[in-house]
Amino acid sequence: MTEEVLGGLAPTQLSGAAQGELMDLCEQQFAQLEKLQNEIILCESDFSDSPQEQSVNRLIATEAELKQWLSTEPELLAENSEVLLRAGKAEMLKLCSELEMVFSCSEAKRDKLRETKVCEEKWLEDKTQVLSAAMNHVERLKMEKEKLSEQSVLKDTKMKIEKMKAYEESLMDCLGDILEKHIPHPQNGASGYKKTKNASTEPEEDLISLGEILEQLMNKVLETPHDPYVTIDNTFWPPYVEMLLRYGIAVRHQENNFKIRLETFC
Amino acid sequence: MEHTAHVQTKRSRGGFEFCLNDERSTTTQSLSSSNVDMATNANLSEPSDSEQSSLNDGNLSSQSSNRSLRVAEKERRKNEAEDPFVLALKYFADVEAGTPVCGNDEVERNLVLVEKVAYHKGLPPEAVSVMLEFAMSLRMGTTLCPRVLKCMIPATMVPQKAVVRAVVWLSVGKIPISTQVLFLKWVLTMFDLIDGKEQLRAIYGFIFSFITDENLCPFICHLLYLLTRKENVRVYRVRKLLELQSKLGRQPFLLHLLSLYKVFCPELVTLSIPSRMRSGFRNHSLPWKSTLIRMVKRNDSQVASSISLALSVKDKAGSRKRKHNHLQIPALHSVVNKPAQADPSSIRKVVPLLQLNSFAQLLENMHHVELPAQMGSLLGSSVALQYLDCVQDESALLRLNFWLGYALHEEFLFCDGVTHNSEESLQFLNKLLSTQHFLQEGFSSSEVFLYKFLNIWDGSFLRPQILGLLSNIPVVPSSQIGQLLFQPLMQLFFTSSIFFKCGLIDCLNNMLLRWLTWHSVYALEDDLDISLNSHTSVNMTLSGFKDSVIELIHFVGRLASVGLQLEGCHTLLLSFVLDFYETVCDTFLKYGLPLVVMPPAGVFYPALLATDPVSVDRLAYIMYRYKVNLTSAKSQGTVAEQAFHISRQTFREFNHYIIIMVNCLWNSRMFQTSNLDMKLGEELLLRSKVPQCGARFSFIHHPAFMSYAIDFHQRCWPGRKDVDLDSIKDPKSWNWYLEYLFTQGWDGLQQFVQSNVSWKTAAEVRCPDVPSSQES
Amino acid sequence: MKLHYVVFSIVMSLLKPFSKLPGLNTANILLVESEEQLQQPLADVLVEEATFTVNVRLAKTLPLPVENEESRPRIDLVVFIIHLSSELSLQSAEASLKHLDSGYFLGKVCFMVTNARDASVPPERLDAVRKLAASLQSPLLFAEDQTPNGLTTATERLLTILKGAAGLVPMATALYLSNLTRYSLPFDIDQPTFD
Repeated sequence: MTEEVLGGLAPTQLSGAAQGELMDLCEQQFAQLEKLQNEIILCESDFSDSPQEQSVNRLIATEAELKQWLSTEPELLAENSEVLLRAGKAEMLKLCSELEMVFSCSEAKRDKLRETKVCEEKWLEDKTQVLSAAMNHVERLKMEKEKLSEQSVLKDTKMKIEKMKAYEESLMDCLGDILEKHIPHPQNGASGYKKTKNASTEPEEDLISLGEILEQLMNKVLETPHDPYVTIDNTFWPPYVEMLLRYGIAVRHQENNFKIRLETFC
Repeated sequence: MEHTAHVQTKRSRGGFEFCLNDERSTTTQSLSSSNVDMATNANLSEPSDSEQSSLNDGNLSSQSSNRSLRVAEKERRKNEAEDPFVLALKYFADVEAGTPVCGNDEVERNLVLVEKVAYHKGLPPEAVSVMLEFAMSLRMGTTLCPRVLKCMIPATMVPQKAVVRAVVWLSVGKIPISTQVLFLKWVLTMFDLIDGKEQLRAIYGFIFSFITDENLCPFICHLLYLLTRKENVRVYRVRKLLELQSKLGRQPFLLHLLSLYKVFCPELVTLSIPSRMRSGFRNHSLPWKSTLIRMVKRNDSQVASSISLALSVKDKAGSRKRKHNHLQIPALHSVVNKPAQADPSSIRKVVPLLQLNSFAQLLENMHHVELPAQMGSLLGSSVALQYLDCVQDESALLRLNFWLGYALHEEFLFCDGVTHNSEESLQFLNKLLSTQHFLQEGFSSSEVFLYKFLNIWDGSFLRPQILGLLSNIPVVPSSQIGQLLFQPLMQLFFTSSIFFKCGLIDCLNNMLLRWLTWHSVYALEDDLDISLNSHTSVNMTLSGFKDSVIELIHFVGRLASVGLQLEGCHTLLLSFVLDFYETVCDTFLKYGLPLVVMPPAGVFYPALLATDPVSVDRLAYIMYRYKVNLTSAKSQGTVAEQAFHISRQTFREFNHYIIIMVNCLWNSRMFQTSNLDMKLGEELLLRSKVPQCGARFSFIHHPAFMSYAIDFHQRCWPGRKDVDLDSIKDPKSWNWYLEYLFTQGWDGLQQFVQSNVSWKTAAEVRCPDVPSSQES
Repeated sequence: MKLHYVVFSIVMSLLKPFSKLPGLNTANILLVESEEQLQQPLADVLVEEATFTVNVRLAKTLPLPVENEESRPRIDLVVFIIHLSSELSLQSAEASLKHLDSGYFLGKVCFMVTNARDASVPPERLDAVRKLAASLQSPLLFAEDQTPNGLTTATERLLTILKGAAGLVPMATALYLSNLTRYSLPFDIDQPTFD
C-alpha cells in the first residue's frame, strides 16, 4: 500500500538521494510480496468449495484478518524530507480541492434553505388565512343561528318534507313504469312469452304482479318493523320470488322457508 | 313517525295504480336507459324538473347514439362519405343480431379496418360507444367480443354512457366469464379516461351485485373502490363483504374495499384492518396500457386535428395534459356535472373543486367542497392541496394514497418495456415531493414503494427525488428498520461514489430531523403515546420511538466511520457527517427527546485530527452542544419527575472525548492521555523523530491551525526571522493567540473553550472542567 | 515462479485469485456475460472512468481457455452480468460459477443484474438471482443499462468494488469490503407484518 502511495507521487525532479530511498522502499515491499505469493501458491487451500461452506470460509478468513489488523503496527513514511514535503504538498492540494467541494455544497445548501424559507412563509400565511376564514364562517353560522326562529325552521322542514314527497312520488312513478314495461303480470306475461313458457307452470288466476309483491313487502316493513316477514302463498309467482331473493332485494327467513322480508336497505 | 305513516297509507291506497295507465307505458324508454334514469335520479338529493329533463335528454341521446351518430356523420362529412372507417363503424352500428361470423368477409374486413385505426391513433369517443355496444350486445355471438375489446383504445376519452350500457349488458349474463373479466380489466385500465363518473356512481348498486361472482369479485372490488363515496357505504353491503370474506378468506381486494368503507363509516366496519397491506389491486392490463402510452405519444407528435373523428372534447386542457404525459396526474374532473345550484335551502350544497380557481375562492367554500373523482388530480392542484391539508379528510388521503401506490408501482417497479421518458418520472416525483412537503406528511404508499424500490435501485436513477422521498418516511419500528432500510442502503452506500455517500448521509440527516420534529409536535406532555401518521394508525410509544431513533443514529455512525476510512477521510463526506451530528447533539434541547448519543471514535478522531480548521471547529461546536444538553438533562433529572436516565456509559464517553480534546488542543499532552483510543508504541514515536509528539495537535501545531499560528507569530514579532511557534506557549501570548483565533470566526472553538476550560480567570490552571465529574 | 503456475493451470481449470503476482497500480476485471451485449460498452466506460490502470477482460462463460493462461494477468474481480429478461443468462452464470476457486467468494465476485424493473420478468427469476448472490455472499448490483447515466453509475460502482478487490484502498481489503457490501435476502414487504 505504501509502495503505491509513494510510487504515485514520485515525479522526475526528486534528488538522487530521495529517489534512491524510495526505490529501496519499493524493492523491499516487492520482495515481501513475492515471498508471500510463493507461500500462497505452495500452500494447499483447505477451503472447501461447496457453497454451504461459504459462510464458514468467510468466518475463518475474517477472523484471521481481524487478528492480522490487531497486530499491525503503523508504518512510518520515508525519512527523506524532500519526499515528505512532496507528500505534504499533495495532501494540501487534495485538501484544497475537497474544500472547494465543501464550499459549493454549502452554497447550494444555503440557497436551498432560502427557498425553503420562502415556501414556509407562504405556507404560514396561507394557514393564517385559512384560520381567519374558518373563524369568519363560525361567526356567520352563529349569526344565522340567532336569526332563526322556530317558525322559520318549521317552515323549512315542511318545505323539505314536501320536496321529499314529490321526489318519492317520482321514484314510484319510475318504478311503476319499469315494472310495468319489463316485468309483466304473470298472467299477461304467460301469454306474452308463449315461446319460452314452461309447459308445467299452469297459469293461475290469482297470481299477483311483482309490483304487488314489493308493495306487500314494503308495507310489512313499515307496519310491523319487529316482524317484517311476509308469508309466501300461492298468489306469489315462484320465479319472481326467486328473482327477488337472488338479487338481494328480499331475504328468506332463517327458519321458515315460506317467509321472506325486504332486505334492510339502509 | 307521522310522516312515514302518511307515505305508507298513500302507498297502500294505490301507489302503483298508474301502472295500468296505457298512455304512460307507451312513453317509457328502453330497459337500459330507464334503469340508468331511475338510478341517477335516486342518487340525486335535489330532484328538480329541469334537471330531470336534462338528464333524460342525455339518456335519449345515448340510447339512440347509433342513429344520432349516423346523422351527425352524414352532415359532417358529406364530401368524405366514402371514408371506409366511417362505413365500417356504420356496419357495426347497424349489423343485425344473429348475423353469422363464420365466412363473413364483410365483418372481417370492417373489423380489421377498425383495429387498424384503433392501434394507430385510437378510437374517437363515438367509435368506442359503437364498438363497445356491438361487442357487449353479442349481436354476432361471443367469438368476436374479446377481439373487439382488445382493440378498444380510446383516442381521447371513453364516453361514460357507453360504459354504463356495457355494464347493463353484463347483467344480461350471456357473456362468457373470461370476456366479462376482460371487460372489467378494460374499464379499470381506462378508468381515468372515462369522461365522467356520476352515472357510474349512480349504478353503484348494480355493480355491487356482481360481487358475488367469484371470478369477477377482485375486479368489481377494485372498480367499487374507485367509485365509492360515503353514501354508498351501507350496512347490507358491509354485511355482504364480510360474508364474502368469511367465504373467500382475507383477500386483499376485499380488505382494501372494507378499509375504504371503514374510513367512511367506522361505526359500520368493526373489523380490524392490517395497517400494512399488500399494496394495491393488481389488475393492470399491460397490452392496453402500453398501446395507450405508445398511441398517446404518437398522437402528441402529430397535429391535433389529425384525429379525423375528433369531436368536441369537453375539457381541452385536460386532454392536452393527458397527451403530454402518460404518467399523468389526471386532470381535475368533477363528480357532479352541473354547478351547484344557488338554492339556499338546499341540504347538500356542494362546490366541485374544479370550479375553485383561487385560494380566495377556496376559503369561501371550504365547508362544502366536493372532491374530484380522480384523487390523483389533487397532486396537480395547489387549491386542492390546500383543501386537503385543512380538512384532513381521511377518506381523501386514503384514496390519494391508494392512487399513488398504484401509480408508483406501475411506473417504477413494473415497467412495460416502453422506453421511459425520465423527464416525466422526474416531474411526477418532484410533484409528489412538493406535495409531501406541503402536507408535511409522507404517504404510506410511497413508503411501501421505497422499501421495494431500494432493493433494485442502482443508486443513481432519479437520485435526488428518491432520497427526498426517503427522507420523508415516517418512523420505522426498530424491529424492522434494519431489514427495510439499513440492509439495502448499506449495500448501496459502500458500492457507490463519494457523492452518493454524501447524499445518503444528508438524506438520513433529514429523516432524523423530520422524525424529531414530529416528535416535538405530536408528543403530548403526559401521554407518551404518539401517533405519527394520522392515517396509517401506526401508534408508537415513546420508548419505541426512541429505539428507532437510536437505531438510525447508530446506523449512520457505522456508515460514517467506515465510509470516512474508505474515502481517506474525505472532507466533503466529513462535513456531511458533522451536519448529522449537529442534529444528534441537540436532540434533547431542540426537540425535547430525552436522548443523548455520542459519535463513534471513527467520526470523532477524523474530525479532531482533520487538516482543515472548519471540521475541527464544527466538532468543537458539537461537543459544546453535547455538554449543554447533558448539563441541562442532568439538572432536569434532579428536579423534574419526568426525568430520563442517561446511562453512565454516555457520560463516560463524553468525558473521555472532552479530556482527549482538551489534552490535544490545549494541554499539548496528546499521548499522555491514559485511555487514548489510538495505540502508538513509544518506540515507533521515537523512531519517527517528531519532536514533542504530544504537542503536535495543540492549537499552535495542529495542521488545521498552524497557518494561523504562523500568521499570529508574524504579527506579534514582525522583526523575527526564524519562526519559533513555541514562543506562543507563553501564557500571555497564548491568550492573545486564542483571542486572535476566535476573531477569525471559529465560534465553535470559542464556545468549546469557554465552556470546558477555566480560561482567562486562571490561565495557569488550564484544567478540564467536565460537567459530570461527580458521576464518573 | 513461472514453472509453478503453468503446471498449476494444467492440473486445475479453476480460476484462482492469488495464482499470479499483482501488477503495480493495476486492477484486472473480468466481465462474464453469455449474451455479450453489455460487456463491451461497460468495458469502454470502465477504462475511460478509471483513475488507475484497469485491464478489462471479457468472457462468455467460464472456464477460460487454457491457451491464454500464461498471458492472462491475475484477475481481481469477476463480474457476472445477468439479464433477467432471459432464463439462459442466469443458467449460464450458474454454470460458470463452478469454475471459480472458492477464494474468489471472499470479496472478488460480484453480480450485476439488468431489467429488474421490467414487468415481463417473472419475479421468481429475480428471487433466484437474489438467493444465488446471498448464498455466495457476494454483492448484487442492479443496473439501469438502458441509459448512458445508468451505464456510468454501473461502471462507477464496479470500479469502487474493483479498487477494494485489487487492494488499492489503503487500510481495506477485499474481504473487509465484501463483508459490508455482500447481499443478504431482503424482507418480503408483501407479507402483512404487524396486524
